[in-house]
Amino acid sequence: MNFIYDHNDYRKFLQDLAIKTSGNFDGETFTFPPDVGEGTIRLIEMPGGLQVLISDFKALSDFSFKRIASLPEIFVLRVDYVELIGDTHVLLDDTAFFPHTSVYANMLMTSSRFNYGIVLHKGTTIRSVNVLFTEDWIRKYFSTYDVNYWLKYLHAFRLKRINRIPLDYEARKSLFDLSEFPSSNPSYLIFTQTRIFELIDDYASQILRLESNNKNIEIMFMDVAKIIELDVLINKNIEDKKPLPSIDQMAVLANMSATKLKSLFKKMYNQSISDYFNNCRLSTAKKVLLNDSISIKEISIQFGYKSVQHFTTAFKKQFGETPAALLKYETH
Amino acid sequence: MSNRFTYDDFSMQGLSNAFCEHFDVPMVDGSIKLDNHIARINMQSLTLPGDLEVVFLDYHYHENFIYEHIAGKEQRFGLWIDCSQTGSPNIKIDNKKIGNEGPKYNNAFLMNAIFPYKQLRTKGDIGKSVIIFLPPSFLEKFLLEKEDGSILGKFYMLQNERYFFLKLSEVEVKKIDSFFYQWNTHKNIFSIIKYTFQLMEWYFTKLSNSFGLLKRENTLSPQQAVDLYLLQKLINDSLSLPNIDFEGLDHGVITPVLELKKLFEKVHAKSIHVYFKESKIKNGMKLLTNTCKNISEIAYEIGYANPSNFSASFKKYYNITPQNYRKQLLVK
Repeated sequence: MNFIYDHNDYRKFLQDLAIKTSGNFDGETFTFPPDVGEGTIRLIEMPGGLQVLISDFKALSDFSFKRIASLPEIFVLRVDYVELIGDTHVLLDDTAFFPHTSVYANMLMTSSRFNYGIVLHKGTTIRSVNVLFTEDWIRKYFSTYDVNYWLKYLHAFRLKRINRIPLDYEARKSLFDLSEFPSSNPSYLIFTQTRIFELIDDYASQILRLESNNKNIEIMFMDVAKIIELDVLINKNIEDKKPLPSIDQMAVLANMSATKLKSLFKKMYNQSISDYFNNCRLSTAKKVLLNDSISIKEISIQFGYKSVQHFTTAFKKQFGETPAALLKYETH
Repeated sequence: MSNRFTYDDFSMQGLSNAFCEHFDVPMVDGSIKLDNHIARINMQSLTLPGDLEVVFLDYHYHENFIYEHIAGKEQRFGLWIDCSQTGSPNIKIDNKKIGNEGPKYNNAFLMNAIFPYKQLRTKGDIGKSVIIFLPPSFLEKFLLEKEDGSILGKFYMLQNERYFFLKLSEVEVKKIDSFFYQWNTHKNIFSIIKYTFQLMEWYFTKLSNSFGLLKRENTLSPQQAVDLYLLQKLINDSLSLPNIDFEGLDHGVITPVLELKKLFEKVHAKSIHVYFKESKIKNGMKLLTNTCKNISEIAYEIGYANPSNFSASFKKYYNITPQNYRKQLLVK
């Protein structure tokens, strides 16, 4: 199935998709019919009229989405986490990106001036957030200072520069939280919107950082893919409470030299590889601390800290509170 | 220009206009800078998506300063977050003293413009405040639960008890710092939106969790809540009289008086008569403790025609006669 559209109205998109696939769209959520896919695409209307799509599905057949270029110009922030199967690929301005890897995890701003498409092979799973920005919206909320400053960056991708940002651990967490939070919770709307604004800010801050470094950081697409693969793998290990590998071990996993790995990491995530994974470990430990009833001592052992003291100090440095104080505050 | 700042229009525009007028300073692009013998204050106003209005300021008071909101007729809500690194401000809402003890004051509360609000800032006080004005459109869309009555209705329930002050954990204090840092260094509006939403999410999630403690039948409609507040006020104003003159209510309230009385009794789990009597006795206790007035004088002051009635009621409530209580105090 090929689904082709040429507009920038997500409600219409989901309505048309429901007709084309004989799926169900209830005004908020589109549910895939079992012969096409498993999962949903949700429409969220954000404050100030931003339209957002939250996708969380697995393709059960081969299909593709393609947006034909159209004007007036509209920008879409695409936050994607795709577990790739077969020849799944993204089409940017009709150029195909074949990551040849197991995951595709990016934030990307696209413009409606160009064609965009994604071709999904059966078995691929997707979690994504698409945010539709109109130029009016950007102008309205940037009136306090130079609008063109920002628009410049949004346009920058046309030169295929500083547009694609790898999805780091925190951003992936926001993305996963979005699909897991129950809509029956009274805090659903404020929760969802906060996560979406976090993703938008993450993208904007990273673009700003790259620009203020004033270096045209060029990273090979393959290298980005390798790093993200490694990142996902190690975070899975952390969640399974396996010890962190050494940098040399990581270099072997990523199939590159340790020096190259370290410098790539610094360029992509703006922090050293050891800081990055230590922070991932702390965030995971924090999640376990708040959700499971395990003692702080047990957590520090499970996550491979030398001592409770070591864990507590690192925790306080990162989150501003000791684990005990945070636990007391949160459960109060 | 005096050390007492008053305003009555609880909105971003109202607050900043009154501030400019009081201190005779201009507002440029939403930014107000004050630097005189009273204080050094940088105040910034912004409109965010969803017509959210945000005023944030950092301050350093050189003199004692009174900050006063005069109660309005119209209900308007604002989330008021304050991080003072030095003094603990003396805060009165609805003429009741609230706030915490201790060297640091890091608190948030939901303010309703129908209540008077007064803050005393002490000389040398340094800190930051963020005020998020929540327009009705925002509240309706984001805070009204579908089945379980409105969050606002529940909120009024709590107003009487504790104004829903929440202490900020270090995590939130860090967020406030980042909020100001992002604005001062990058003017990154996406970060401002993100932090604003994170703070609202934090506050309203906590608030909503606490509502779990309230029974569903105790939920009030906003109108009932306002009327209940007026009834409460009438009772408090009548404490020096022998009886409550309910005719005074006829002009102000919309809810039928009989229904309102029943609501009051449900909320306080006692009859108005008992509540009134107990409040009087508590008042008498205060006078006994803090003044040198003799017992007959006190009895007349709190609306008892006969001092022996007062003594009897007092003994019934505190299990000691006023005379003996006084004696005990003198011994101490």
